[in-house]
Amino acid sequence: MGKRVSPARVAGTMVIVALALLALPSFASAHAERPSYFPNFDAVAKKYFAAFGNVPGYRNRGPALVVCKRDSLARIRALPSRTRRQRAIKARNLIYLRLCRFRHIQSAVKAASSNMRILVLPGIYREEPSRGEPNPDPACASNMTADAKGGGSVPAYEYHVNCPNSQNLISVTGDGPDADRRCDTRCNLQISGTAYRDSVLITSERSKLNVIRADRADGIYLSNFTIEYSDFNNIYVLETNGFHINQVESRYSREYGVLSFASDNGLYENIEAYNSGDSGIYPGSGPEGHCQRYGIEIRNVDSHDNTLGYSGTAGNGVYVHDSKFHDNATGIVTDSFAAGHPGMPQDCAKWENNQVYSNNNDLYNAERDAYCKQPAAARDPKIVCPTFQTAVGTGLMIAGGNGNITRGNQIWDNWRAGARLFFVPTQLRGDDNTGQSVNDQANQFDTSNNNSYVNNKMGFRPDGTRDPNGMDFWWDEEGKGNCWSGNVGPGGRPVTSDPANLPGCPTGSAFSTGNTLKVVSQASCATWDPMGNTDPPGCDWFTRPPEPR
Amino acid sequence: MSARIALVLAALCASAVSACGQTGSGDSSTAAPSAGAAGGLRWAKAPQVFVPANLPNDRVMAGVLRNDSLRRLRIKASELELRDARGRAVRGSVAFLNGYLHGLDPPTRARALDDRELVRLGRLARLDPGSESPVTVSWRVARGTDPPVSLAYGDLVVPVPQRITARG
Repeated sequence: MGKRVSPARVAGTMVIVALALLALPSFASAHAERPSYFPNFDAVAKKYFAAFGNVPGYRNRGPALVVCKRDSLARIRALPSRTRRQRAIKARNLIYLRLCRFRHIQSAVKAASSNMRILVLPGIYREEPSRGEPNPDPACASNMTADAKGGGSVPAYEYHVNCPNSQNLISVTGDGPDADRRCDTRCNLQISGTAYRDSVLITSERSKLNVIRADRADGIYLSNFTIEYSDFNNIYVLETNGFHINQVESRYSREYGVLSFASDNGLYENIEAYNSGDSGIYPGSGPEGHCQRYGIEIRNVDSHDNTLGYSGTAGNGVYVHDSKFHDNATGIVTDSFAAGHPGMPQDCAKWENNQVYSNNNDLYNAERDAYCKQPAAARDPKIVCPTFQTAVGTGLMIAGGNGNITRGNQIWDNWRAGARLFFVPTQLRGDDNTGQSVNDQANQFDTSNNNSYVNNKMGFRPDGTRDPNGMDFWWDEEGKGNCWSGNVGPGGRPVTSDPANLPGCPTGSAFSTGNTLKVVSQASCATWDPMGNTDPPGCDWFTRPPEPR
Repeated sequence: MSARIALVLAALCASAVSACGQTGSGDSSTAAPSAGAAGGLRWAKAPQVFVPANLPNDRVMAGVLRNDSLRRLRIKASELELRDARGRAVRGSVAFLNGYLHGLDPPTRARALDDRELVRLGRLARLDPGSESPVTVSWRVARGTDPPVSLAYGDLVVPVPQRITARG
């Protein structure tokens, strides 16, 4: 191994793993994460500076390494060749095959230097050498750091540099041994399938928490493959400035399909994400542009049959458009629920021209509850077991968000509600010791303000057929500046809502501390536990509402 | 109990428990009828009992507990028990919360959490003498079972109001 297409020099050295470590038991621990920082945050001075960087574009030329499997030739020969384009793809793959020097994507990543392309030929990539690496790895025991939240220690960045495959099937780490958190090596890597999205399968079979981890891997571009069976994230982008995920099919993750965190200048596009235990896509801890810019764009995503189509705690500065979220338990959630997320409280996302429909996936019924009590290893990984609680039958839920815009979407056939808005008190968010959040304990009502819902089409399909939501809008009545205008029901009829009268835009609501019963009714839902309390009294989230007529 | 929680209580009483100062049951705001430590637990404000709109058989009680004893209490939510008039346990859920939230980690992945996170998640209340914590308790009314009349932490007991404050 080691020969490459271009004359560029191989960078880095293959990590030699002591055979003795292979005998150590591997376990999947909870996926706590180290304290993470946005690219434009000075962790010492504890302040933001001007954002910088770009979304990387696709490159079809430049130095490359080629990865293939033993049966790649047969797979290439089986590619379709009816059209001119198809024949060109086939011919190109045959050329690439002659240049193949790697059997595993991780091997190519280790050999790569910045600005290289890794071309992945048709095949199934199980990355066997990575699978034997223990988690935790005693070799990296000194590379632990304090958890972002909740006590204990977790792998530091250096852990993933020194033991890249302890938790990750494929690991791309770019930052060198310095304190800047910026990419120094293996920057702007492009890992792309060379044929069609379903020609390359990267499968973890639950062997690792993450199938692909891009950690401080500025400029990473991932495209044209199918990825499956992570124990946590199929694709995990962390502290990365500039990332682009395109033409990816993500499925059967125990938790998340595609997840970005404390990253900026990102683009998710042309992604199908399904059957994940948490969400299909998760742009969490999004860029803090405070409504002056959108740092992550999501377009042409089809996320379905997950617990959540989209979720994003502290999902700031995300522009989501022309995408579909359907047949999940809940279509879209953004929130300020959990601790350990920089950028709290959530603000300034925009959902525009999306289709959010039929999110009634009945994942909390008694039969599924019983099935999901089995150990994860005993379950069929294709069957979704919810890893968090959510309100079944909800299209779009903003829980503790500010300044979000929901505009021009088509939202129908969500049997509980098309859209729900409620607040999260500051106290419940916990602390953020990194200094990247605003958690002013003197103001418990700093969320659920200035959210607008404008010109959405509620309760009917794109062809105009009536297909109602349980109700179109539900609001706990807390916050100020929240407004609803121009939203229409089937045939131009008024929308349905609780409260019946919603304040109009742009003025929106005068400040209110909310409706007591509505707020309290959510609290019981916090006690949900898939092992011991699957149906907590007082919480109606877990029973799929009847289809509205 | 931290000053922070006391602060949030003041704020949340204005919202999640907006009628904290109102008389809901008529028998709260008095010292718990406990034989426990001097003073024991008591309702700082009258708890309220709600019936959610879609769950006519469920009850949600929201209140604020005060440690009126002279010792520090460290109470796990799981250690609080609803009891009927005959002292039998009534199944229910308890959280030291007045709103919804969840943890960083999925509940499917057990991990030791420090007290600060347990408090945030409403699974633990650390109550210094004189301090307070919100609590939400819910239970299901079932045919053939008696309703809870008290919420107990060992021999520290507070009453559960029998009057419904509001229906959704």
